[in-house]
Amino acid sequence: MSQPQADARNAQTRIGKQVMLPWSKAVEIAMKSIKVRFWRSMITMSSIILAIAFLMSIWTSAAVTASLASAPQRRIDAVKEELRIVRDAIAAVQGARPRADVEQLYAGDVAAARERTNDSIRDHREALETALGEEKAKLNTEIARLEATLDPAKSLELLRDYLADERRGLEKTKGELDATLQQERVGSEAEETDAAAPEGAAKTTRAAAGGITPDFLRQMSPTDKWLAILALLVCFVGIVNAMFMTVQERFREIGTMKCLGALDAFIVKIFLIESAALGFVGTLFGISVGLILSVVRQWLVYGRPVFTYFPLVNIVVAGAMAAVVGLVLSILAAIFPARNAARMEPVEAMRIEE
Amino acid sequence: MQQNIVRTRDVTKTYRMGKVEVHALRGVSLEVRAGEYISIMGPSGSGKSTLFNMVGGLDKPTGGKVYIEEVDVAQLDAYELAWLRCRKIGYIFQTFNIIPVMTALENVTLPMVFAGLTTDEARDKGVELLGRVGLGDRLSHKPFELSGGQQQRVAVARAMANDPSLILADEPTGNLDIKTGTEIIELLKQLNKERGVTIISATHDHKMLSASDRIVWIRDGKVDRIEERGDIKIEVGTIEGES
Repeated sequence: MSQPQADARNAQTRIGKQVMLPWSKAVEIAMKSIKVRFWRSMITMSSIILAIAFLMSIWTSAAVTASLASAPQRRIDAVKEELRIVRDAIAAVQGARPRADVEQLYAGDVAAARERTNDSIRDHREALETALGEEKAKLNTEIARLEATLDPAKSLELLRDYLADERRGLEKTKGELDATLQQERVGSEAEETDAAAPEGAAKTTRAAAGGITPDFLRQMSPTDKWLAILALLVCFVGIVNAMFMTVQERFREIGTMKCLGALDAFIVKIFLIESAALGFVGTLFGISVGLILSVVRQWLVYGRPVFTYFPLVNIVVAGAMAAVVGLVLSILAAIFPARNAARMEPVEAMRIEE
Repeated sequence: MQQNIVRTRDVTKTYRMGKVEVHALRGVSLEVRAGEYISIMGPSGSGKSTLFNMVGGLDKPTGGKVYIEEVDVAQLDAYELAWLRCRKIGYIFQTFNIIPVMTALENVTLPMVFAGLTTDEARDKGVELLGRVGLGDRLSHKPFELSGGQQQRVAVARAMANDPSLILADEPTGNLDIKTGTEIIELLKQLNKERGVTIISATHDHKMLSASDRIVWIRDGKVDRIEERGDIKIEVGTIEGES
């Protein structure tokens, strides 16, 4: 009898194919697995929390420091911009045509107006002539007022007065800010900038800070940049190590599960869900812990300006980056060893631990 | 029809330990009929565990063929192999290999879950199986709360989970004392008789001999001799020193 052919036929008739269990079953097993080794899971998660908290706190403090360092400069820039507008306006007013020219320019209008006024005066006068004496006086004052509005010199003076006032106010602010900046440079506390800042200026700068490029790493000092990159490395090693360990100590379990008929892909699925769950929760906790600790520390050092110049956008970006780092690292660091173990022959996987 | 449930042909296995090649198996040909109770005997390092792994599809031979129910194991894809391990073969190990974080019942139901049974079906059958091996009152115990003998009973129940036609036991009594070891052997024998399950057991425990239909002696990676039960009657009842 030709054995290979018989084998092929038998393979088709007698040996079935193991079906892939649905995701819900994998989720069920993974969640159970986290629950039964709760404390081990907590330890793994705590290393994720620590790593992400460290990363987040370094990034947060770097972003806050960068924001504090650049805030006075941004405010001065804003004041300078306002001054420039005022100066342009004043220049425009001063460089305007002399009164005669203006009168000539508007001669037509003025003449028409004068004509209308004269008509009205005439009408009034005619009325007055037949009206009482008090009425006449009243109308005379009104005539005077109407005549006054026709004078362009007066409105120019009003505008000039207003602009001069505005300029004095802004120059005063600028002087105060320059003094503060000087103090900053000398190394005094940042608190005073806050006290010296007029409310309006603070508002504009905060709005400006919100629109700033999300690449907060660019705003950091070289030291902060270096720290941020180091934190990323430490976080990387911490998470990869924790996840490798958890998978490593379950190689035997993986081998056993294969003996019991688990498909490689199903084992990988279980580990994917487990590590994603641990990574997600751990990362969330880590971000909150790192953010809170870092902000509290900054607040103790710098006081209220930390919140006045809180780099909200940058913090959100840093948080999102930390979340991606945490989640992706925990999943990858678990999946690769789990996949390798799942692909091994069961005996090899079971032997490794011994 | 007398059928070979397991057949090996010139199976060889070579491990590489650094630069040295270790020949664990040097061409083993063996036929096991359905319903038999076979013991593979031999000293440590003789290759009996390696043979056990080959027969169970847990490892790939370097050369030769392994047929289970006349199907070449090497020809199976991952899905068919998983199906085979899940439904055709039950495994029992020297180190029990029950999953430490799961209860006795969860360990027994795991293969049924893999086979696609619903949670309820699996639980009912798991309870029944644990009752059969005498652990009906230990369902929700964790392995560390069970003695070695009880853990091995859990493993036996787990091996029976999907009603396999073949149970492979690798030194099932190796980590047990004489009394519990004997109980496990009796349990296996009982399953063999009542359910007609074929049992292949790698061992160097001489208590196994009396239960076996045939004994395959392995030495230096080769079949040294095969004895029928009748040939070894003399040894029955002899109490050997526990290995």
